[in-house]
Amino acid sequence: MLPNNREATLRCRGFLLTRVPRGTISSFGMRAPSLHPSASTQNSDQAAVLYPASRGACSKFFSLLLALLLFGCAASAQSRRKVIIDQDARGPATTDQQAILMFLQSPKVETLGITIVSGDMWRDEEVAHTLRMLELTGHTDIPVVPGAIYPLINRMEAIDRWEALYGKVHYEGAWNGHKPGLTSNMRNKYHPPAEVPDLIEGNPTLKPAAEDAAHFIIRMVHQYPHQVTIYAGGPLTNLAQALSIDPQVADLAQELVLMGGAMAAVYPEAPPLELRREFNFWWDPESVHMTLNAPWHKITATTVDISIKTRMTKAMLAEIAKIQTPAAQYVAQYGDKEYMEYMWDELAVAGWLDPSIITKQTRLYMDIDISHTANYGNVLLWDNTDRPGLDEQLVDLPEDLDSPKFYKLFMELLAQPSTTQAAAH
Amino acid sequence: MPIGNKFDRAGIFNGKKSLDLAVLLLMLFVFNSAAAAQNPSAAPGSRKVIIDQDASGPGGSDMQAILTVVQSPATDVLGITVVTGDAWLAEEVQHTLRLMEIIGRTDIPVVPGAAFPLVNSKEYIARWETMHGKIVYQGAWNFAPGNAVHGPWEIPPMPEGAPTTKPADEDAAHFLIRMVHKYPHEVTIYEGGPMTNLALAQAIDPQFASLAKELVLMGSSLNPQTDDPEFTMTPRREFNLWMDPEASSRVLHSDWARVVVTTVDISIKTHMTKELIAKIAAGKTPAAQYTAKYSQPGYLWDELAAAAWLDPSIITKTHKLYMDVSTDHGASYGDTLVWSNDTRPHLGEREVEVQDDLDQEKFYREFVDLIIRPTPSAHAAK
Repeated sequence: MLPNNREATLRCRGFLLTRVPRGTISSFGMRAPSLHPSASTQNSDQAAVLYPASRGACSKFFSLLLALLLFGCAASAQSRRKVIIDQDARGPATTDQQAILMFLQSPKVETLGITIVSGDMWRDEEVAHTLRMLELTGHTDIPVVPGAIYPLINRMEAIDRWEALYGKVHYEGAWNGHKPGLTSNMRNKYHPPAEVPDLIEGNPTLKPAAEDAAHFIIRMVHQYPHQVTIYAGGPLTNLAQALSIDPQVADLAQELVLMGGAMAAVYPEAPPLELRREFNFWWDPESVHMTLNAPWHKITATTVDISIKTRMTKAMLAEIAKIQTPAAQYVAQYGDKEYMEYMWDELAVAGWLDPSIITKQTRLYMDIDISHTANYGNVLLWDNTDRPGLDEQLVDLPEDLDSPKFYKLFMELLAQPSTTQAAAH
Repeated sequence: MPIGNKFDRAGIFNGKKSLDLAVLLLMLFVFNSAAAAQNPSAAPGSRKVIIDQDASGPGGSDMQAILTVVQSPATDVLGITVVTGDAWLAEEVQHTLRLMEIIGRTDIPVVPGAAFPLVNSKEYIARWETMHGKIVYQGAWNFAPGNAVHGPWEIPPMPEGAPTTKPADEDAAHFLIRMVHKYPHEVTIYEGGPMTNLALAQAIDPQFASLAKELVLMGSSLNPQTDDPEFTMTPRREFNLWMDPEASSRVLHSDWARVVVTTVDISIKTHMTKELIAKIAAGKTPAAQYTAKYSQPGYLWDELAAAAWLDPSIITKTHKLYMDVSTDHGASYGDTLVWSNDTRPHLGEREVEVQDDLDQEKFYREFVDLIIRPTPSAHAAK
């Protein structure tokens, strides 16, 4: 070690802690060991990085002190996986909030922020539900960043006209029940986007961030290049906006994890009518097209096909009710007891947290139909032999899962204490 | 003429009463036709049928389907109307004529139909593919086993020999119209190819569909369970409906008394195995020898539609839905569209009976029996 390295090297939980200039390391754990610490000496803007331990050079006392100081904050923040949660955040509970909670409850994750997009509900109502969820589960340090209220092109009124030509759409999220018909019997009454009805779980006092989702996403991937996973559990409007403003976003992110799309799902209870239509993708097709034609390093999409192999059960809710954490109590109290939802978004999160939950997957080129036709908003798939060769991207598509492992992870996460997760940005 | 329910059009029945009456009539009708269909000992030659077929040959699914219908003693085949599909019209007509010569049924008229789809074309699809991806199977446009892909009027050498008989001096659409007027509500239209001929008949005479007894078709795809990427990448694309989407849509908006659909989903549960071919080869009749000589392992697409019409008990599961074909010039051009009664747009789309599952052994047995039995002799002159 160089004599003028004032921090020296400190033994900390089996690793050596030292400092190197921020920005010289793009992927911790991959390139760090090859960097010599001497590179850091002239730089005052330094970030902590962990090296594999070599022979100890510091006292046991110092080591203990450092461990106490840094464990659970800086050191573990550096080793945790950074994620931005982009979500249409219906609440209270249900698949959207439960997916968010899985990230927040994981000790292996650093959530940079939750960006909200209209989808299952309108954005403002979703922001309120999310803030309230953070209050109830003890995660008030996580920024909630409002994103898009409307899809880029698609409109409720346009879909009304579309339906007259091509048939009724069963589920329209925030648009549900705006006219008599199929979607009017859902439990949420329609209201305009700016209206936020009083929340049954209580209104939040916490406030959303002053920044918009697209700029937050751009800022974060520049701050942590190649380190941020973008998870999107709703329509992709925020991502499309970010990509439009700054096309570097796709390259600067580590990977994209989606719940969206449908391939050829086999529902046991019904003949297949709309094989390739899935709500998240359908709500804003143009955004999906822009997102799926961007050069991400990796895209994983949890489709309807595998999501419908999961289901929240009354027995699970009863088990959750026995867990004495704020997160579990929130889910137990507000979790869906009527519809027994498929665990759409939770599965996408779980597959990212523990890839061994996915037991089978395929890899295909995926896009969405943005032609204003009967197929508007439906998934398109190709293999390498028949693709058009435009900008379509390869997407990993989980096909089957280890169900017991998935449910176990979900329960274990809800049982975790609500530790502070985010670093200051 | 507006497209719609014929009871509504008649203007006699109103409101719920008309619905009840219509349902009652329909039930009686379906009951009667089902009872007749399930009676294999129906009077010989009593089931009038026109075979509308894209008739690539020699042998293979198209010719085997024609044989299935012609070989049944229960049928009265009024004619075979030919349409471009798996191969071009001109060569298909020759193969069909030759087959009728081989089995000694030159009394059945072979009637040339449409050489080209109404709107779709090989050249258009080539442009479409640059936007939306390659289409593996395009029938006459990209597929000619044993020969180079060729133009519509070229007839490559025929391994089974060239026919000496001639096609009918009438076009398919007019033949179809003439027959349903001559035998109102008695003629089953069996369709094993693109529906250009039927759409033309319906366009010329809007009474056409309502005067037929029923439409039995091989076409459409819903959610085929297979690993074959031809079907999994685009599960709603099926060749017959895709080749002429506008014709398909027109036919599926016509007021047929009944439409029965054999989809890709069920067709791919059938296989022309080497075993089946060997069984047929043991038959001594010209039909059996012809079939065995030119048959290849593959799915029994059209044969299933034909055999299930002859004996509906082959089908063990069906469901009803509303069906159309996308005529939009986007990525889904030519794809199957389906709705339930509560999602459909009410633009004159038709309820169809979709076959979901079958008794495979029964199907294979009856198919083989039909192919190897002696060919029925000609019925009364038409």
